[in-house]
Amino acid sequence: MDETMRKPNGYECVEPELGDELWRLGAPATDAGLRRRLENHLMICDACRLRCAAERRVAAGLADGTLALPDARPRAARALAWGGGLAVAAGLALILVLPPRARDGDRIVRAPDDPQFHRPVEGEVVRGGRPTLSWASIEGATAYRVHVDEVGGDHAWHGETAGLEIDVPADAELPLSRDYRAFVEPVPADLAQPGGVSVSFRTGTTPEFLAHRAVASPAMAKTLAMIGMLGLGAGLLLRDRRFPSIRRR
Amino acid sequence: MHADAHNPEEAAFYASAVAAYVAGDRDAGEKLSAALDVPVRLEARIFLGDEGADVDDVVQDTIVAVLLYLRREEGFTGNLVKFAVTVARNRCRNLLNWRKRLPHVQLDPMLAWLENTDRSPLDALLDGEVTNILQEVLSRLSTACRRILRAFYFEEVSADEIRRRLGLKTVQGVYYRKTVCLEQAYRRLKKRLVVCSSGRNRGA
Repeated sequence: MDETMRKPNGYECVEPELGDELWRLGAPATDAGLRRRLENHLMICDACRLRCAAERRVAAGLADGTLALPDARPRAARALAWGGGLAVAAGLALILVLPPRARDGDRIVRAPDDPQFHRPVEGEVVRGGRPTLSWASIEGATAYRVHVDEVGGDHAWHGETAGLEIDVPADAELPLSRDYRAFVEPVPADLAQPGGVSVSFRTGTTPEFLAHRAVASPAMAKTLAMIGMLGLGAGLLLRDRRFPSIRRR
Repeated sequence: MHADAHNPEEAAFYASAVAAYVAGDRDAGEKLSAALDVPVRLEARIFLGDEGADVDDVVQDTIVAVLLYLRREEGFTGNLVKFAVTVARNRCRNLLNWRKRLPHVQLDPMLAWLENTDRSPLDALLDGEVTNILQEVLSRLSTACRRILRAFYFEEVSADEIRRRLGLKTVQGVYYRKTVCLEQAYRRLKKRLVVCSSGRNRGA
């Protein structure tokens, strides 16, 4: 005898194949032969008789009003789960799309209208070794010279463009997990301060990039995702559960 | 030998004995009783210990019930020993549960109370307790289950209308789902009763 069999309340159906069909006893159009077998089964199976007695008690209680089926939170729960899910999705999208907060530190503080990099922002971890660098236009500039130098290393790349952004080309892909400083200098050079405009950033793998976003994303995006997760969790806990299946005892 | 074991020779014996018994052979009934007595008694002893009178009662009750069942079913397919042993185990549980609920109470003096159809304060108390547990169980049912049970028992909607509401193809499906919901309630009820009975044991 195993543990289940020893339990005083672990009543066992004596013929589970028939016990599982007991629901047909109350259903119309059940074959007369099967109905007779089910009735016979009920006479000998204490487990099924007990189950039927409990069901009858519930049915009787519901019918005479001593038992109630109160409405519980399903709509609110569903709304909570959906709302939470949407908020999580929106929060995650914002975390990925919005520029992260710039790191303070050795960054030169400038007036808002001074020339500056748009992306990467100061201290940003960019995904992969070919970041797109973009900056604000400098009045009177006909072109821009861009330099990227590895901090504490010898990797370097430079390019020139007439536009306001430039991609690091494939043949100059920056090694990952290293720190860089990018400079942009207008042509002619005297339109900006000596040395041009600079920003420091780091190239990272996808996990490093995500970890940085989780920390440095705008507080609004993180709060939205957090509230969404709470709502989703609460909604799922109180969710409208579907019909379970009959389990053999 | 484990009580559930059923070797080919035994299977052949039981098949022929059942066939003869169903055909009206009284000796076959005696043979079946004698053969089933051994595994059923063994199982009852494991469950109840060596309490002679109770074991005898369970064995006798089980064998009579099994023979009656064979007669009604006009045969049996499967493992008759396993079947009889399972019946015996359930009977043992009935006995143990009865004792657990009302320890130190002899059955005989209870007969008068059981046979008396007037409701006593004890009945009302027990009813109230059971109703409370059932209500708690129902309150935890899924919304889908609540809807179907409400439609069945409160609103008294026809099975066909419920079928339409649930988007099912057959009325049989409605009855199946209703049973699944009641089954869900029953499972929870069993869990609650286990908690109650273990609490009583600790208190005793």
